[in-house]
Amino acid sequence: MEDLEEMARSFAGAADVAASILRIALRNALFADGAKPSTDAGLFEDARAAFYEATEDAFHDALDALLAEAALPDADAKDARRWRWLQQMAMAVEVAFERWAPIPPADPQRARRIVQAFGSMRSNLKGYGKSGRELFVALSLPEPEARRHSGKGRRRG
Amino acid sequence: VASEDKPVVSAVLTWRGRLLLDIGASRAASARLRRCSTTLDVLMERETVELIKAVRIAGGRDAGVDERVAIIAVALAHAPASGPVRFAEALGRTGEGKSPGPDERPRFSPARFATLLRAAEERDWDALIRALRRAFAILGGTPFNIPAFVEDLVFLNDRRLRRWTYDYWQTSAPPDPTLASGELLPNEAESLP
Repeated sequence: MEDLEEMARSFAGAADVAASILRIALRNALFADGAKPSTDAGLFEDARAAFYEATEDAFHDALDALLAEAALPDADAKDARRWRWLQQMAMAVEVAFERWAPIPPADPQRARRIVQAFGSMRSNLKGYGKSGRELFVALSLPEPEARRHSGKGRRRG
Repeated sequence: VASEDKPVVSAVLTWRGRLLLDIGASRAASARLRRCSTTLDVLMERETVELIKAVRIAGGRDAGVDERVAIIAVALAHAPASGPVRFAEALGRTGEGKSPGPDERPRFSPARFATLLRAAEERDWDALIRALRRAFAILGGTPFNIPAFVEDLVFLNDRRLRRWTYDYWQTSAPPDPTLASGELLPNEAESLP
């Protein structure tokens, strides 16, 4: 049971870091360098709320599953739960980002800034950068391997 | 479902197979389509009419599909061999086919890419034909993913255009929430660079 409480705190803490990653990415996407929008402003608050709402069921499902598995303290199963929670949060963050920072196809400068902010955000969600490290520490996940090059984080699929 | 497994896309690819035949009639048809600069020009070609019929039989009947198919006819008359790189991704690479570094420029300029997207967004088909012809001239023989390109034009929508922008800037787009199963592929988070 102690483990379960620890995992619940870990998952909730990671969600707060993920929400912060989303907020920073939206600020970078929507406001040019030098602009200092209040990050408590409506847009950021709406995006944050949408992220928590989108992950709420997954959070409770994960805790229910951990409770059911509590009698079988399997480290691999717990790791799998951590990765799964990370993936669910990453999905929710990316979907929220696109909703609140839609690409204006015909405006190349703004489009580029949004895509770059998205790329940095995805990099954070993979464990890179200061926020990414915080996210992985919160989830007790191993630090990702160093990047081989400074590429753009293209994902095939 | 892979692009080429969708009936409408499959019908277009079958049509393209005939267009690529190394016989006089196909070569002539291909040359005529390459010279077309307006939607009306394309729609006057027999091969375009055949393609529209094939697409309709395969289920493509939504509003505006005939014009989009006409554009596909022109595009495929210009298009090189198919490859894994998506169309907009190929446009956003350097002349050597690499992802641009900090001091490098995409082979197809951001301004031209914006013109292409604006034409598609505004459903200005003649402008889109002009923009695509410029794109093919700059791409030269660079291969790109023909089935995905066909699918994007047949089912053109704003989401697909936004994904082209991500592709152009060498970044894979956010997941589509209407298609997402709720999670990424297993271990994907671990394998990401």
